[in-house]
Amino acid sequence: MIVTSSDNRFNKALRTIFFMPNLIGGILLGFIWQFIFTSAFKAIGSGLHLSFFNGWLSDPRTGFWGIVILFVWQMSGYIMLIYVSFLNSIPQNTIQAARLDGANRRQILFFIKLPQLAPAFTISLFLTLANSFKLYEQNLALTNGGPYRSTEMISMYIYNTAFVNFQQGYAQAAGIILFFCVTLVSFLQLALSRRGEN
Amino acid sequence: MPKKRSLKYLSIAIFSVIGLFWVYPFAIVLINSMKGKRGVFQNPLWFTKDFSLANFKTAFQALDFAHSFLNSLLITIGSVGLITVVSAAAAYAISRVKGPFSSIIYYVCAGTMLIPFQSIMIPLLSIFGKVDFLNRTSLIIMNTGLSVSLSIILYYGAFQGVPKSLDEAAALDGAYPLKTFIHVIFPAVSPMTGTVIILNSMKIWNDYLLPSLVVNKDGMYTIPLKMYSFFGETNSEWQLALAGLVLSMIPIIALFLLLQKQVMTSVTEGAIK
Repeated sequence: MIVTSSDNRFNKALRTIFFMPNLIGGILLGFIWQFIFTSAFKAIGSGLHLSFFNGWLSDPRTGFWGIVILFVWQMSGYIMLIYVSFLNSIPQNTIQAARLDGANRRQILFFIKLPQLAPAFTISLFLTLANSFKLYEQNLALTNGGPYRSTEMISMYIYNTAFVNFQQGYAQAAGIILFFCVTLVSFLQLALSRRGEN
Repeated sequence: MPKKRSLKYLSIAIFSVIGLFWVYPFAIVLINSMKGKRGVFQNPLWFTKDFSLANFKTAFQALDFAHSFLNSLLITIGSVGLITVVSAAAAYAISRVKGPFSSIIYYVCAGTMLIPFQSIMIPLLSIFGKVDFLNRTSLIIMNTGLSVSLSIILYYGAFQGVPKSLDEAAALDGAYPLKTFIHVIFPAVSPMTGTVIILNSMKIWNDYLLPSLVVNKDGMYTIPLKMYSFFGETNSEWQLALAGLVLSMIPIIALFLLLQKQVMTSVTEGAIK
């Protein structure tokens, strides 16, 4: 992903393409991938005679990975943009100075660029974590928690307890726990990453 | 330099392949939306012979597209308008009036950004439900309440960058504070206004969870809501469902291609702040 920082037409087109899924809401994304995992995967599987591609969403384990793939597909363009903007803000003269000192491209990447990207890592990790805790729509549209509620994420659990089973007090308790989890994980992650940055 | 050149071609090739993984899901949806039922079944991966655009017409009617589009538009414009006005005014006040009260508001805004929506959804809904106020207007109010904290923080940063001497100059010329804000300070942060509008529009336009709880009634459906119920109705008819998906995606992708650069800078700016 780091390679796409330099500005030319090919890279700009790529950035647009990677960013596209991020524009579209979770419900629509979930449906797109439901089609891919059921129909398209079946066609690939029967074409290649591999049972690997069959019934991804009807198996608890692959159903979970289906949500992971969808989430990666959606978020990576966004995260990439953050890295690009940090890469572009590294002053050119630092890189030139390193080059004058005889550093090759690999050394520049590891010793000059990566350390300056540390804040970008923090932000991306924070955003990805926060968003994955809040994941609901993709879950609903892709698997609806099935098979047998095995892929039901926390947000969906709260929703179902409150508005399907009508146990609102219980669901609210789960909501509070979710809040504490998110806060705790966010602070831990920020503290650890900040220490890593220095 | 031949080695460097071949390296460049290699990286272009690799990234084209990776890019394909991002394009192909969209392509496959588009391809299959222009088929009959048999074509989707026989070969979902590429075009088949039964090409037709009839699915779009059916999906357009089933989605009640014009109506749901207007609903989505109304809710998005209403919420974003209110968010922009409220958060700009609030941020201006707390950036110019120094004191403990301003910093308390600032930290409350920063803190509330951490709260996941699911943690407050149930009391929010039961309060609005008790007073029987669940419609498009209340959705606009809720959206505003949920989004102002991020917008205030973004605007606060922007106003800090506007020198105070500008305020003082306007005051010397006889402008009262409200006039200074509207004619001098607010125009000075118009890039940030663009960012706030884009970030909030994307979020509100695509939102499903909150609208599904508030405006899940006839005549108030937004596009994601209608798409969800339409999808349930057409379970074995993928070509129709996919045509509906394409229709729902067209407005936002078209707008993105028009405002591409602005959208991308806004999104990164919103993340980094």
